[in-house]
Amino acid sequence: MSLEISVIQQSDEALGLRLDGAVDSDTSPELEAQLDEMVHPAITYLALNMSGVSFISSAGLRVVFKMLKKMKARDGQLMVTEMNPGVEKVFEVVKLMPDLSVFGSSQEMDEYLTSLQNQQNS
Amino acid sequence: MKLQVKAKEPVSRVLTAVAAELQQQGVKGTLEHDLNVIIDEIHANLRMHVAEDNPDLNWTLLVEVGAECLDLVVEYPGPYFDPTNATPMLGDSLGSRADGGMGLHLISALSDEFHYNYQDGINAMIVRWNLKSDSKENKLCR
Repeated sequence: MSLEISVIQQSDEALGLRLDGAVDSDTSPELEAQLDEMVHPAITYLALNMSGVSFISSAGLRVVFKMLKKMKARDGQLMVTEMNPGVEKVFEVVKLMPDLSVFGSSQEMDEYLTSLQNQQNS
Repeated sequence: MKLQVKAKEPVSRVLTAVAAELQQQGVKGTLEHDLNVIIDEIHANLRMHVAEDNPDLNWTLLVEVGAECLDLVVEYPGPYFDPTNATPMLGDSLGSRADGGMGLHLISALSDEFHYNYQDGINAMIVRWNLKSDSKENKLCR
């Protein structure tokens, strides 16, 4: 199983990514390396569309924790959308849900990101 | 199904083989997801903590689907180590949650039973799901 990482939205302060595949001990090092490269210092909103994620283990959760801490330190947010029930259960088990901004759909998250951008531009 | 796994190999081969077995047995959905998570937790821990001193380590994976239970059994040679006695480090603050213990916590939380045996130099972890009930209260499955 592999993991594909695609950029679905990008602005000065926001980055939206879609993950497809397994976020496990094989794929997490590559995910971490790519996020380290893509999440430059100005990014304060990181959005992850998880609709294509088959499962996430603790190796992947550590990468999510790292990015969550990074966003919190910048007064930003880590947003997640479209988790399957198994992935959502894992996030709940490790008590991660209260720290995340969770959206039911990509459209909902896109609208939120757009409204943030409009606020910043006004 | 029974599979010999090299600790240094990617977990993807194991997951692919298990997925084929689960499909044949009609197991799917959240249970398949939870099994994938737990296999990756065990494989990553063996690779990191046991194979570090023994790069040629092989472990054995057994998946048995019965009428009432699904058992995942992992066996490997080495010194006694009981993971069911390890205390997961899962604090309430964001900072304290990032390190260590998450894997063991997930194994316990995503299964109905988690046991350990040690005999003749072989460690055995047994992870069990009760297929007859979703209730953790009624988790004994014999």
